[in-house]
Amino acid sequence: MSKSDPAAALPEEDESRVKTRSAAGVTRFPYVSATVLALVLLVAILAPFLAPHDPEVGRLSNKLIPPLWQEGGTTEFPLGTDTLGRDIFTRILYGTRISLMVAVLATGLAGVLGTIVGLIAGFYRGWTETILMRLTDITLAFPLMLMAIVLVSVLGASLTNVLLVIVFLLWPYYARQIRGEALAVSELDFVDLARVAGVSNRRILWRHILPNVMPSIGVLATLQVALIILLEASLSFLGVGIPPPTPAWGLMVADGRDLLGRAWWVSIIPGIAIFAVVLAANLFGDWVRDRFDPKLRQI
Amino acid sequence: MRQFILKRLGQALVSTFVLITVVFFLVRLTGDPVERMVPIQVTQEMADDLRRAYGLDRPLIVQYGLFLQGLPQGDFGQSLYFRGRTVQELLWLRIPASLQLASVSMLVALLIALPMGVYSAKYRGRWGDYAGRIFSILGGAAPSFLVGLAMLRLFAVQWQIFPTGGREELLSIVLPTFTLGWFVSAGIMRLTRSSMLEALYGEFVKLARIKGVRESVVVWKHAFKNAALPVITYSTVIFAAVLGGAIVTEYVFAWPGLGSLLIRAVIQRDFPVIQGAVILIGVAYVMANFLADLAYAWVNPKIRYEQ
Repeated sequence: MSKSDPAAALPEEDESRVKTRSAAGVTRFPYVSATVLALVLLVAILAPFLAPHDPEVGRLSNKLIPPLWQEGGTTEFPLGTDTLGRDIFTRILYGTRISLMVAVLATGLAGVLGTIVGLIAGFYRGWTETILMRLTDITLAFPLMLMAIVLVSVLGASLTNVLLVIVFLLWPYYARQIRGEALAVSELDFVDLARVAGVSNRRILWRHILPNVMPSIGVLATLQVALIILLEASLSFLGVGIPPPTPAWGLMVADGRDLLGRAWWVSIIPGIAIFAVVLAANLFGDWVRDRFDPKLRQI
Repeated sequence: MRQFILKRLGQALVSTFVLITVVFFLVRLTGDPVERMVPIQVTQEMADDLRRAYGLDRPLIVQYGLFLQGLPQGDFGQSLYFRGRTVQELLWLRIPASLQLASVSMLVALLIALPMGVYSAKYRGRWGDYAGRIFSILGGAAPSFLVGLAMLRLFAVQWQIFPTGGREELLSIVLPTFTLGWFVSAGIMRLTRSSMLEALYGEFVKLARIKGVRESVVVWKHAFKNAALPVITYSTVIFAAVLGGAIVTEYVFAWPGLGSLLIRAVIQRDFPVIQGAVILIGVAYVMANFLADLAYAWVNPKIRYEQ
């Protein structure tokens, strides 16, 4: 920038507050991410109709066939096969079910649990709040991945246990956020008015406070989907997640770990599937946050 | 400030204590480790002897008491898998590798992410900014096992530039560092960029420019110095996360750190080792977070009074 004209060095006025929504402009709707996520959902529902082979049983005579574009690849197994002769394309299609199921159920359950705790702590205050929030802080103080590994390995590797552990580790994020907001909302006049009008505490909590914190719950949930998919995949990859022969993506990556030289596709292709979904979910989550960021809302 | 420190320290200690207790009782829920350890042919008596040798025949609460007693000396008991070796010994062997990987990755990440974040903010909207943001978005979403395995396939198997794993060679650290460093720098770059943007549009930067200060001085001395504070505190938190999050990377590259020790112990059901590794990593994590909190409160007095 030229020194002679200092004013030129200054940003335009509307850019001076980068953080406010009005100035930065709402980010554009992430069409690509939304399409990817919609596609994943569709594939998960339609997997049995789309998949050309059985996801869990293969023929050993078909083992380690390379993907279509490599020498020796066939259209019968477009993404190749693994050591047991199972079609990787089919397994990836079915794998969407596992990833999505874990993501949706874990997000939902953690969200419900965390919201209830947060609402109660923020609304009733006093001892209830202290105890619930200490519990939240303590759970948040543990390293996520480490605790997930230990908990699943102790409980035994299974889909249910992976779900339970993820829920157990993620509810405090909701509780902390919702408590703060419930606290703010319950100080507002309309809550006092409701009370004066003789509305019961429980009804105030569910009918007046909950609807006001709903947007935050939605934002947080969207942001956590990517994290959960990645967490489940990592656990399965380490052997403390979904047990074989279920076609979980992380498990498929682990299957090919020792075959990198001979058959890279066995682990790299499912890995790319995870990457793509996590990326899409991240970008979509960012958009949802920018669009509905509760901190920008006037409560 | 003093009250704040004490309060936070108290919280950190309570968390540590709960962690230790939870881990202790959890690993004992898995069932009798002796039964999983010994061959089926072993007689009841021999199994009982083994139980006695490891103190597993005592009531749980007594075991817990003894365990707590040993902790201050770093006594985590004996490994079940490596007979005759203490957990402490095994942990000590692994700590240097873990610290090395974590600090080298952290350093590399900072060296990449800070200039990149500053550049992105300074030249917002240019192609360099987009490249930096793509680097950070991809790094934040790429699972470390995918990055690690892809690196292995290309650089170790195909081109044979770097070793496939372990820590014996000097170059062994390159691939794990990249794998971990990319993920870490993604977050740091993002934060640097946004806090630099905020600083660059601040009144004090305007003033400096009007005074005719050279642009590079404005960027580095005026804006960056202010923008760096949140980045530094965030980096402390990230470092804690790296200590716990390097597990997958260590496992992929057979890096002999605490993470791969933990995974191996999980597979072998070597519960004293699981316990020791989790407590060590967990305590390091809690303490690093505590320090980050202090650093944050120190630079930003508002935090101290809010709590």
